[in-house]
Amino acid sequence: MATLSFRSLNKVYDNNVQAVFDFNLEVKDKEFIVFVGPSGCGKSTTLRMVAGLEEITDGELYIDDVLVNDVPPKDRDIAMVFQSYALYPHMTVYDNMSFGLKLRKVPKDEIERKVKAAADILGLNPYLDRKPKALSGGQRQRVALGRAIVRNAKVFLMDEPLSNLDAKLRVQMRAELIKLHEQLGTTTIYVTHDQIEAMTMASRIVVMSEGRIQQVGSPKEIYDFPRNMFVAGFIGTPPMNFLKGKVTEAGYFETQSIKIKVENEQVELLKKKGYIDKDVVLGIRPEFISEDENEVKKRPETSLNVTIDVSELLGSETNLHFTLDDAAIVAKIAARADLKIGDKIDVAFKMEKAHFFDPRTTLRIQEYSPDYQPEEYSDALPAAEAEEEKPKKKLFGKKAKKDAAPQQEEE
Amino acid sequence: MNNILLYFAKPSEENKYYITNALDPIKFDEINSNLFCALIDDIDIASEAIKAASQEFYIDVACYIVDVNIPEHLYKYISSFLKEKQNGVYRLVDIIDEHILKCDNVFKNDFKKYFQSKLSNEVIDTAIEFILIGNSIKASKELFIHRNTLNYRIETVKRITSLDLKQFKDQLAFYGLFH
Repeated sequence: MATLSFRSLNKVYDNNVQAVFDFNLEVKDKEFIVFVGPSGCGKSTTLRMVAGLEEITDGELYIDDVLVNDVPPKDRDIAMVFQSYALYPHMTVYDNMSFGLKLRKVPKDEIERKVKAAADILGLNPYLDRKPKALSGGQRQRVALGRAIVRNAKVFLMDEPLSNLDAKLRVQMRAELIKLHEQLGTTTIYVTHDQIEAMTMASRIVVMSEGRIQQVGSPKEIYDFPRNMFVAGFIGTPPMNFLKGKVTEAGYFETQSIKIKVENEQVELLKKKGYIDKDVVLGIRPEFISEDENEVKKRPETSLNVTIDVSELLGSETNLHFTLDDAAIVAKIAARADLKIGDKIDVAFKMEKAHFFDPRTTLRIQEYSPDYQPEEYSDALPAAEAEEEKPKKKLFGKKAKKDAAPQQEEE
Repeated sequence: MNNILLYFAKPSEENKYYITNALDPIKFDEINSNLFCALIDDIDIASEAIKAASQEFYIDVACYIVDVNIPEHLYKYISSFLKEKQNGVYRLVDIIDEHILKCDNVFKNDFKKYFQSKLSNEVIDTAIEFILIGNSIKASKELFIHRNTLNYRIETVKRITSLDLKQFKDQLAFYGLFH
């Protein structure tokens, strides 16, 4: 069993550059947690703090309820897989995987059993006598994974392990890693800048930017209910479309050149939160802009006639690019080869799937409905425990409580 | 056979044990409490094996491959470089590049003086011209020397300084030292 508890972790380097701010997270046993974010957001630094390769400037890290801040990496019972993994070039695959166990004086028969078991899982049995130079990139990566598996560590830490592989191999290895996790059930923290990897592999995603957690949740929660414009724009391919404008008392989203009817529920929410006739940002995912004739007919008040800037046929779908009020918009539609630059086409906005954001705070304007309980912050404890834990609550914890306030007040 | 220097951020017996065994048992000679020297057969295998061991056993160890002999009074730059880096495998060109980028004139003068004592002005001038022109045929014409003479002088630079003037990074290092 392996749980992890990150309590207000901060990392400040000697040159006073702060890489990680107030990182709070509870990781349950067997979870596959993915830290995702752009380069330089602090995800690898946080991972390295877990490994013990970076000193924790402030805060506490617990592995299985044991404080490990000052515990050296080799004593934390973790196994790490790096992006630029290095194998022992003069040793066979078998020796590469068994080397660590040999030096730790594990009995020979136990080594053999562990290596064979890992080789079975990773499909490396035919290659045990080969040296790394005789292996492909994917096979070498599997050897690096095998080295981690034989250690039977409590926690796997993976720092962009697929980044050096070509696109096709990456897709294949992703599936293998998911299967591996299901077989082994080891708590895993996986770092990537690739949001597709995050969406397909994670039980929960931690979206990071500029050293801070932006949102924690399941892939579906993050995708359907992004907490702010950064999360909304980072997760999803193509990214969410954003349009600046105002929602009027009459219930229309208006910009300089367009006017779209907003769903009544959304208008009520915006009214309640004080955003009518105020600047807002409309966010809508590409797949919720349709060129289907029936949709356009059904939604006359949310349909627009647009001019195509670019039409990208991807095989099973087409990305349609057009401009609204200087904003580049993308619609993901069914595959069509007939659309060309300059063509005019009617598109319907499925406004029931739209979001609104505050342009100043970039937060999504939202209210928790009884049907939905977002897990935004891992340290958002149940109400009773939250009261007991009050003194330890940090900035993000406080914000979570604040955001939850309307529902609690209703209750 | 090449000498390597290993700088251990935490020079425990355990860390040395892991690295020693990763390179097939080799003998380390202690230079100081953090810095050790060893003789190895194959540089490429050694550098990969050191990287693998430092990853597997979480050891901060920076390795310097001694391509060419340099006098003892210049070794202070190598040990301070390794101490700063803590991880990775490096050659003299990496150390020169880093100091050139930092505009470290003391370093520059020390190494320039040393190399000038080993290389003739003719060889240095030829090397600079070759770097600026970028092409051995054109460079040999400009310098009114035979191509073989040019190649010989480039090889001499490599032998004395370890800098391969056909590689951009090494050209940068040499040019930065002498310009």
